[in-house]
Amino acid sequence: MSRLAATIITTLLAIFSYYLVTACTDDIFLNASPNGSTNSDSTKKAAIAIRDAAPGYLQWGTEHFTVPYLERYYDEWHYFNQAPNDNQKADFLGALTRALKKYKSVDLYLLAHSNYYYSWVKEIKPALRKNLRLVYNSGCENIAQGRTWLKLGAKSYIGHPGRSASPLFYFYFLRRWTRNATLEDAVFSSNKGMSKLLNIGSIFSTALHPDEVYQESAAHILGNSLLRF
Amino acid sequence: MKKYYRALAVCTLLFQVVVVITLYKMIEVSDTGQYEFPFMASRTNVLILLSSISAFSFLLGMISAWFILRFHKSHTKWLWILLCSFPALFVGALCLHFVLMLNAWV
Repeated sequence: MSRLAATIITTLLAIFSYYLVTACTDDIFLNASPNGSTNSDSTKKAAIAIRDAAPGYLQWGTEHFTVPYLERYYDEWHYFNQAPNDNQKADFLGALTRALKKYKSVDLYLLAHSNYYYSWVKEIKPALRKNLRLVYNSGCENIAQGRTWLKLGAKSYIGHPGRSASPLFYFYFLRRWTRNATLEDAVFSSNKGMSKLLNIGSIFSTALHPDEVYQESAAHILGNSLLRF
Repeated sequence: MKKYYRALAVCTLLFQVVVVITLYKMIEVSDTGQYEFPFMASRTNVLILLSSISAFSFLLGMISAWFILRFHKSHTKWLWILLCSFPALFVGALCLHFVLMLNAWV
């Protein structure tokens, strides 16, 4: 084969490999949403995220994936990693209370297995809790807490109905939501992305039943589904 | 160099295996909650590491693919590329995608 042909094919192989990575997992898109710091005072927003005491590599992955998006799109953010001997309750509530005092919109990302963070948030004054905007809860079966969170003051709540594969959903959701899609669109498209990954996974593992996992994992919205970032 | 392109292709594959195992080990956290490699706790360091792996993997994958395409005479060249060069290109692409994510670009 000539040098030129070999060079062209080699370059195409490299491009194809990147296409394959994105086609298997995602769409190819680059950041297109306005930066959070350009918001006017009335639309300034904050985010608080908390990760439970999962194995270290999971905490590492969640933090390194989440923080850049919080940093880029929110005016203020706090990220907490729980440890077996430190649940971070005081720091979490302190940061959330300060954010609720300062901002009209505060999003909560509860990146934890089945959890009961609403019992912590109940300790904050109801007048402040009205500034809670979105609560995303990755916990298994935590869709059941939706009404409680709405009563606490959240405008919208997203949860999963069963033993869920929520990290697959969250991988798509955070990026679509921060790109200003409505919650409804972001959740629909993220559920679809999760389904695609589950189907790919089932090629490699006969133990994985994608339809069953999807039924348990598909996220649902309670409250205002037309909310935009 | 013509004689050794197969060795280069095999080394490319081995490099990817080492990269994947090393990355896995580097993000392990000890029982005390501390990173076994504190280096990995810094986003800047992770970015530098992933960018380097991406660039080096792409380079190795492309060089080995080029030599196989240029000098391998039989049709098994595509098998060689699939087994040895493509994993490197795939790891390079995967790391590039992570780098873009760590900057909130994708």
